[in-house]
Amino acid sequence: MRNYLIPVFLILFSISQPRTAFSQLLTNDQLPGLKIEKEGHYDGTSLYGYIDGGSTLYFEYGFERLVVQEVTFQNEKLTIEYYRMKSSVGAFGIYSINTFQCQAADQFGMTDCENQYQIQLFTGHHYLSVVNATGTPAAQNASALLTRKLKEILPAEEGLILPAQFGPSTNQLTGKLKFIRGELGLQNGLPDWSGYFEGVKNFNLWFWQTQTDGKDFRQAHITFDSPGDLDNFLHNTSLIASGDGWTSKEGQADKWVVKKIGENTILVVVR
Amino acid sequence: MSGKNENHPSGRRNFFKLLTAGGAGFVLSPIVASAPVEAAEKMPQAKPATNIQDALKFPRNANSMPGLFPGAVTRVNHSGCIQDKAIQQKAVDQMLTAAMLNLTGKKSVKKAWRKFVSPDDIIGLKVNPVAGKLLTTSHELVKAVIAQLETAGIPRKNIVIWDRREMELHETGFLPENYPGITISGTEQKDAKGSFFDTNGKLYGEGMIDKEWFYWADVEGSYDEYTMPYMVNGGKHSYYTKICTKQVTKIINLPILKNAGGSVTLCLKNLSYGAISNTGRLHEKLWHDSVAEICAFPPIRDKVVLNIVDGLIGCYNGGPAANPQFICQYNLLLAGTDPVAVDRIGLNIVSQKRIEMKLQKEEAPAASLFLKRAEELGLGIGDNSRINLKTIDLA
Repeated sequence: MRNYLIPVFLILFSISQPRTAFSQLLTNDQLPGLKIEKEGHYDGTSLYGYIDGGSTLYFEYGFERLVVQEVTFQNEKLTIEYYRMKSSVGAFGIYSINTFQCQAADQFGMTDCENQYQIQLFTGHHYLSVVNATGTPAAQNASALLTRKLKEILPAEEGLILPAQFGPSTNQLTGKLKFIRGELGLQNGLPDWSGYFEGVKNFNLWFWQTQTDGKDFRQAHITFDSPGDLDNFLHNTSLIASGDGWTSKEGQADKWVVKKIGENTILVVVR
Repeated sequence: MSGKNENHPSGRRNFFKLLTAGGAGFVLSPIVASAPVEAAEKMPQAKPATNIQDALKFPRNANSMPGLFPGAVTRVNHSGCIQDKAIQQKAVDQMLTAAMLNLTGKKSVKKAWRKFVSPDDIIGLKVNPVAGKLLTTSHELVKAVIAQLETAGIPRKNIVIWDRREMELHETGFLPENYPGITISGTEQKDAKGSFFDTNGKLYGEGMIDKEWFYWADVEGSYDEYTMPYMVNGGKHSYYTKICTKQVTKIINLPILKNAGGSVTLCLKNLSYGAISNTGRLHEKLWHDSVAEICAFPPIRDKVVLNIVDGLIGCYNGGPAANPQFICQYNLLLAGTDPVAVDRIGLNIVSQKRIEMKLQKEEAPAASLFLKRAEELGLGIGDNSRINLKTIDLA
């Protein structure tokens, strides 16, 4: 079955604010009392210089550029990390595995996650993190104001592309949808599935998890690079052929139903 | 913080062109359409060759890993070690004392430390500031160690706080004014003007590596001009820092209780990737092997006499970077001479936390591969059933 280009959502936001030269991120004159204390720019492998081994995860998702600013705003010390990725799926992928148990989510008119010490945000090719040092209400408020300003100046770009025949019917993605494309992404975002991908060289995995009647409902859309990779996955999951797809063996706790929907693409439902 | 400060052409690829109602190609909505995604990048392939056989040719000595107490780990818990988000120095002092006395079986702090070091030693404290201020080896633990070393008769001038990047040490507060009389040193260095290069255009880091000691692996490091100062050299050789090969005679390892994906970055990782140049090339294909193998060379294997894991504050996901939502208070220290056994216990703790937080249902299948490799190399004991873990609860 072919993959189609099917619009899922087409929600456009008008862009009224003037854009800044974006390599600067924030400047002192953009908010009253804002002071940029330090700034660093990293692209290519120079990300090693900033987060050393942690950078390999970003490379896996297609890292393009990082701007880091340490600022003082409303007497709070905040650290902004702006990652520009090569694709919107790469940006969303990083966001999806870096967010966890958000106190508030999707509050800024885009996909975002707010916790006591951090606000994270995804849009277009952008992944953004604002960290405050103290976690106090005042620091959280300063972070929120700063994030709103950053949202205004982020250049608008194409949105996230979901595969055909898969996907949530909502824009509330945070904490529910993950995109994984490599070993490190699996380790960080879906470690319990790592074993299923042993011997699988290349893949794109969309993972959607919700609860229905108090029970987990998981759906995955996986595109493999080759028939051999698909075979390895099926072998690792111990699924058995059933009709036009595969299913889990009798007696297993999780009930898997897998259908082949493209040459090397499968749709997985786990209940 | 460093790097280049110039405009960056985006260089991004357009995979497709969107058709929208208004004809605009760019939107702020998170989802707009469905389409195939970009091809995935390569997964790790076959394991490259290394020069690990060279390491095994060097005879061991009395200090060689796993040290005086193979398989022994002491865990000290203190529920009051952090109050109002501040680490309590007095509590840390008590925890360290309890750990040292329990591990060594000695009755005094002085005698406990003198099992490992003498006043003639130059002692390197290997800290971990790589994640920045949010998640560095705590100053309270470092100060407790220094105070007890002084009690054991070690002069401050014989103590070196070190890591790979001197600038990260400074950014996280390991500064001369905070540690008077103690040397603070890193392999990768900048001068007062913020330059990595001396007046002859040579990297300061080049002067800090010892080309007589290297870890060779059949993986090529190739870096741009902005990355090279952080790697010191490219190619297939990673050179040991002179801090390990020449400057210090003993090393006390002070990592943080952190995850690295489903695994951990504790004793062995803190030592291995902290002690050599050109590490970037090793992550993808050789992480587990290199973490163990680098520690099997004499500059590390024969000098690390003690490991004390800072588990006061740590993280269970997002590591080795500091992602605030995953930072937690473990309220503990781990101590042992056997880095493999200590790492095994640390992995148990982090894995349990990840399970509690519903990040995973069981320990990740590949999480302990580096322990297996380290055990093969005789660096310690990685099997839970053979580890003698003693736990002390102070509060």
